[in-house]
Amino acid sequence: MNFATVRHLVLKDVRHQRIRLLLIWLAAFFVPLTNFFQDERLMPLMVTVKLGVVFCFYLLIIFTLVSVILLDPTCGSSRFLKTRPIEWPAMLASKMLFVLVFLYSPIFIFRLVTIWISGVHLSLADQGLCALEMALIASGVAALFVFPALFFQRMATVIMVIVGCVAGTYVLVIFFGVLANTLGFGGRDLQAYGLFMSPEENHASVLVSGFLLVCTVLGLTIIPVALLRYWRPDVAIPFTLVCGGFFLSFVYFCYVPFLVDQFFSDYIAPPDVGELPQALSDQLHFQLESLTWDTSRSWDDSNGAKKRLESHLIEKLTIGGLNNRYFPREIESNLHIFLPSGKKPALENIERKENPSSAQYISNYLSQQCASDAPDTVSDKNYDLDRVMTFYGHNDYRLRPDIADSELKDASVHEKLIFMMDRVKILKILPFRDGVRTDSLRSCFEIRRVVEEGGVIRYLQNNSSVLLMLRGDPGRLAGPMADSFPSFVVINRKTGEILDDSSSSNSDDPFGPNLSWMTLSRFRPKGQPPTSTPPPLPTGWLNDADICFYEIEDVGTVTFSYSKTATNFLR
Amino acid sequence: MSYSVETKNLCFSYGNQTVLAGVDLKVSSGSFYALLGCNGIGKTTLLKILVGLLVPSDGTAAILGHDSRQLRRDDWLSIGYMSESQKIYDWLTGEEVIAFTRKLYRNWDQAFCKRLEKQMRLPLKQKVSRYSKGDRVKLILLLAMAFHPRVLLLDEPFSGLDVLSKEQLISCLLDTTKQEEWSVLFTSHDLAEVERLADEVGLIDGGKMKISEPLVSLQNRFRTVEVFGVGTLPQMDISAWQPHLKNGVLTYIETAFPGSRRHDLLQRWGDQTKVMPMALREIVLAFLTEFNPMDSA
Repeated sequence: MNFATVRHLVLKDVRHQRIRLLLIWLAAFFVPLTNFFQDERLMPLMVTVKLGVVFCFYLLIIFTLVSVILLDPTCGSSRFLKTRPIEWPAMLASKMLFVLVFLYSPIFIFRLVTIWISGVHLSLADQGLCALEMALIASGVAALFVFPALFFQRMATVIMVIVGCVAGTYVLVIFFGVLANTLGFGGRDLQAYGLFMSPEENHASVLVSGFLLVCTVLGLTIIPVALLRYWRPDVAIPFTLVCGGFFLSFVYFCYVPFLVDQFFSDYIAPPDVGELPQALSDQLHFQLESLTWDTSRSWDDSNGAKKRLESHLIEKLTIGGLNNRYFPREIESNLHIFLPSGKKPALENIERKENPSSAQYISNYLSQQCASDAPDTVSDKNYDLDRVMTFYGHNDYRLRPDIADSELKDASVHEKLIFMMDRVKILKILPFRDGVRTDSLRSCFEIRRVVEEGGVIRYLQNNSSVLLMLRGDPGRLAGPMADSFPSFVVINRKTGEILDDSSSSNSDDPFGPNLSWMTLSRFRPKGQPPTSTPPPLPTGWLNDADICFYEIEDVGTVTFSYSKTATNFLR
Repeated sequence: MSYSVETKNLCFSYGNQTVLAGVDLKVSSGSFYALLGCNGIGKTTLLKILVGLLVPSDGTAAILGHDSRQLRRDDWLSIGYMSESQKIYDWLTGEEVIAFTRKLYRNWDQAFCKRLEKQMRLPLKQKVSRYSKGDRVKLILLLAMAFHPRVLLLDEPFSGLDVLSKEQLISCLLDTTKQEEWSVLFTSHDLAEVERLADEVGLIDGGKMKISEPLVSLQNRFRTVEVFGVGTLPQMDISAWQPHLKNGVLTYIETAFPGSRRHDLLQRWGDQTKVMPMALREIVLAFLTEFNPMDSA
């Protein structure tokens, strides 16, 4: 292969694409710099502009990729270079070099500058994996567009083929989706929806299903007809290869990252915690404070013959006995009700009343740990379970027993509740000011700016992460909390006062650091709406402010069972 | 004998439509071969197969002894191909296209290129996209000639050219090719120009090569014969095409004129016979209108 020829061909391509390349490189360098605009009012606008530019950036890269292939097409009988003294390896090398140097590099630079600005420190190995991951994704995406470009000569045809293949895939996905849905419900799907949907929703779902079915039938009819109409022997090879290319790209995207993940992942699943140690569970005491039928409502059925019933069972449970560093989290509930008539009402839904207790316990604990002068508000209760369970009588499909409200009297309730006992673990306490940061694996949390004005404190937080598929990060973050961003409170180291934290504006930028402006204020007195002005902070509060990072650890499970007759309600 | 261009039983179809059905072609070294035929008959296809842009369904095609499907880099240093439909980089100026192409050839003759540029009067500073059809053809021709190819394949080199451009092109081609003994295979509908340039002529019709012979031989054996004072249409020889009688004048085309035929003619028709030479245009027309002439011959 003659390298002078390769260089000559690359320079020709660069010359042709120079304006696009200039725009791509400018975007690669300068778009990440928009993340330095951290003004609260400008930030949303900048993010919107940036998203538009980034979209154009990638679109331009794809367009340039296709265009540079079509500049010297690989098919057709009017090719110029085909009749010139050039070996095909030189041609291939020139195109690959162009793509690598002029199209992949800007993506790398864009990514690297973004990571640098987001403040995440990657290890050398992770930097390598990041580059490998980008190469994998970029080559997969490139394959989608390169395949059609190899077999057609005009940009318009290539675009039409890509759109057609995407639409065809979409139709097939819908077809198999509808098919699977129908088979899954065994022909009684639409009626079965009625159990969970309102009649309006059910009708809408029938309409949507019908529409999708019609689209699928049309698509599956049109595709073969179009193939028969336009099929020519010389179309066969490109068509087969393009379809094969799409299929391979699909397989590539679905499997390759996960296959590679097996080799590189540093994810270690946390061990399952078993039952709570006996020493701790012995200290616990459960108290079922009330179990009462509350409001019950009945109304005539549409045919006038029957009455329908809706009743609520209110359950209050307290758990106490352990140090307030611990608190339980309900993970499973198994409840059965037996009526004296022998009928068994089905549980429709459980509504947990807003339960500030655990948060309160955590706050109290942190106050005590962080501030010497914190008041002792320790309670002997670690938890309040406050639930409203709703039961219905029969419905239109007669799948539930008919129950009269009088039958609820002396109902026997059997329940088994499993709780995970969690523990508060303080990670770090630092003065609350600009530059405070804490790092976890491929992610960082930092306070970029702190401003005190008008009795409230506002701060710009950056909680960015670089998710590496090859390390299994998306799965990791979806799972246990160990690697996610740590929880924290801003606390006064003298008084132990913890401030209410709310988001003022979030950048929601998928291509940059995850920045958000937050507001810290005193908690509003009970009964005041959240929109009301909170009580102002005294001057100098910030001087004694600390930020306390903590996490919640699972310690073990504990089970509580009871059988009790529910107290009857009064009508 | 070695041929610069040779095809054997060459077949090609576009889908179900057969274009070439066993074409045999031989172009001798140093000759100027004109490939003739109606529109869409397969002349361009034949040239594209020869340069490897299309793959034949059957048969073989070779240039300078190399199979067209396997032409290598060095082979292209001896082959010049020009087609009006060729996609050159029209976002470059003529000068830049030449500079780009020059670097691909180690045998590029810059002095010769400059001479061609001068002869062709190309607007080299202009972008190719703004070229007229004639200038575009001339530029592509220049790119095909400037490295002294041993074989030059030209697809419709005169199409769309004005008289002056055509004259420039022909004189340029004649000057260089005759001096350097290039083999030139070209297609054209401009039969007057073919007559000036070609040594040999081939006519494709119905997917087959109907004629392939030196132009001089073709012109020698074709004559229009007029016989006066004929009452009824007589029985004609097989070499006599398209005989017709009008107002006592029998007119036909004699396709085997030289040699004994002249004597035979005079003996049969006597002094009332007028024998006139035929232009290439008339010969080609006669071929195309005569039903299956080669078979009947």
